[in-house]
Parts: sequence; structure tokens; C-alpha cells
Amino acid sequence: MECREAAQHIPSYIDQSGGPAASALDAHLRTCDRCRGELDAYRDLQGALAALATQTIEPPAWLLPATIDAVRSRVRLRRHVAAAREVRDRLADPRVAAAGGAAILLAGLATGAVLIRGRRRRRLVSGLRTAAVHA
Amino acid sequence: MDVPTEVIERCQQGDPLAFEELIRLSQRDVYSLALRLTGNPDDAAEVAQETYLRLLRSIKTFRGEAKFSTWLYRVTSSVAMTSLRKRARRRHEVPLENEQWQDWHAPASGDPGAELDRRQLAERLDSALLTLPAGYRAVVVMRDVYGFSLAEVGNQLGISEGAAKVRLHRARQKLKEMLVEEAPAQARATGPGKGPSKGEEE
Ligand SMILES: [Zn+2]
Repeated sequence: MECREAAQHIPSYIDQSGGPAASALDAHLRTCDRCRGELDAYRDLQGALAALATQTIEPPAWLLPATIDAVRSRVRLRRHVAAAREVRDRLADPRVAAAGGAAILLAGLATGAVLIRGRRRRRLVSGLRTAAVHA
Repeated sequence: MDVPTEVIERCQQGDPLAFEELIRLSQRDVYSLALRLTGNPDDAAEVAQETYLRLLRSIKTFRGEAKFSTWLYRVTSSVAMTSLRKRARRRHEVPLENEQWQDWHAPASGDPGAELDRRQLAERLDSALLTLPAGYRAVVVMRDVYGFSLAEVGNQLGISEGAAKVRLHRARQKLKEMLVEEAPAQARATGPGKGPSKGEEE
């Protein structure tokens, strides 16, 4: 293996995933200082990249209160939605629907009774009127 | 990131104060990943905020097979990828999954330094990462910085595992050139002291 080819394989070699080129590269690395230097450079880079995860970056100061606010209003919104859904589901519940139907029926009967009574009274009144005319 | 299990469990039971505690304990890490993926502080802030709104719903599904930080980083990455896709669409850029290395022109390299402490090295690495195309930067950030599996990286980006690997190697190669090679070359050119850094074009 030549240095040129070796250079292409080194970036994957550091994963130690083996691969078809690994043994040829191994052989080359044993004889070539320059490519061993390359390998070391990649290993240094790997170490530095892995260490970056713990090197955090300070967020802008407004972000924390803004996020907490956003979360609070989302929680409030979800509560409203949940409450609305509960009302809807309760109305959709067949037992509730039956009870609701019965209530409407009762209300209807009551209204009907009032109307009938009213009509009877009207009839009575008009009867009296007729009687008065005839008197 | 250090979020006690007890706080996570209280969040899962819907305790709003615990959730605020969780934000306080993890926001810096979430923001850092978001910034490394989006490369832009405004987008990173938006991604960090959206991550917690998404978490509000999904924290119940966290079962503790993975570390909580790994899980949270996965959610963050997913939100960040959505943000990058939206940005590419808005700017009529190539979608993340179709980015080609050839289309990218390496910027002039930044200021090298011979002896760097951890903090300085981190800063230089971060700025080197920023110069990579977004879809390549995402691969190296997820894989080499945050330790995602290549399968997971491919999944997040909507590319195959093999394609993710190719991107990873290109990105590593470029970073190595930017960081490791140029530093001694510059040190040789300008000497150990300071001095007007400028010089050689290859
Ligand atoms: Zn060689």
C-alpha cells in the first residue's frame, strides 16, 4: 500500500471497524512514520471531538425564562384542551346521551303541558267572549 | 448533564415544578448541541425551546433503557434537523440529505495556535466545525462528539448508514487538515512569538 491510499483509509481505520484494507494498512503503518503521524493526528482529533461534549456553550440569558414561560403556557393550553375534550366526551357517552335525551324529553313534556294548558285557557277565554257576545 | 432520576420521574407524573427543574439542569447541554448542529445562535435557541415543548409530551415514553442524556440529545437532534430542513427550504438550498462535498468550498482557515488549553481547543474545534456544510457537520457532531451510532445518525439525517460513514470520513479529514496540520506549519512560518499572521498559499 502506498501513502496516498493509506491516507484514504486512515479516517475509517480509527473506528477500529476492521475492514478489508485494515491489514494492508497495518503493514504500511509499521513501515511508514509519516502515515503513523497521520494516524496520531486523527486520534488526537477524535479525543478532542469527544471532549467537546462536556465543553458546553452558555445560552443567552433570556432563553431560560422564555423556555419556562413557553412551557407554562403550553401546559395551560393543554389543560384547556383536555377540559374541552372531557366535556365533549361526556356528551358523546351513550349513558350521558340517554340521560340528556330523557332530560330533553321531560323538558319537552313540561313545555307541552304548559302549551296545552295555555291553549285550553285561551279556548276558555274565547268561549267566555263568545258567551258575552251572545249575552 | 446531570438530571436525577427522581426529577425525571416527577416530570413523568406531570409535576410542572420538576419539569422546570429539568430545564434548568439540562438547558445548557441542549443548547450547546443545538448550536453545534444549526450553527446559528437564534436557530439554536429556537431548537432548545422546541425540544422542551416536545419533551413535555414525550417524557412519559422515556423508559430508562438509554441514559436520559442520550435520549434528550436524540430529541434535540431531531428538532434541530427539522429546523435545518426548514432553513434550507426557505433559502432554496440543497436539502440536507442531498448535500455534496464537491459543492462546498473550504473557507480560509482561522487563527491557529501552537499551544492550546482545553477551552481554546474546544473553541477552535467549534469554529472549525462551523465551516463544514450542515449535513456533514451534523454527522461528525452526532457521531464523534455525542457518540450516536452511525445507524442513528443516518436515521436523523434521512440518509443511509453507508452515506453517513462517507460523510463522517470526509468531515474528519477536513477537520484534521484545519486543526492539526496547519498549526505547526504556521508556528514554523511565524515563529513562537506573535506577529502578523499571514502568508503561504499552497
Ligand atoms: Zn505512508
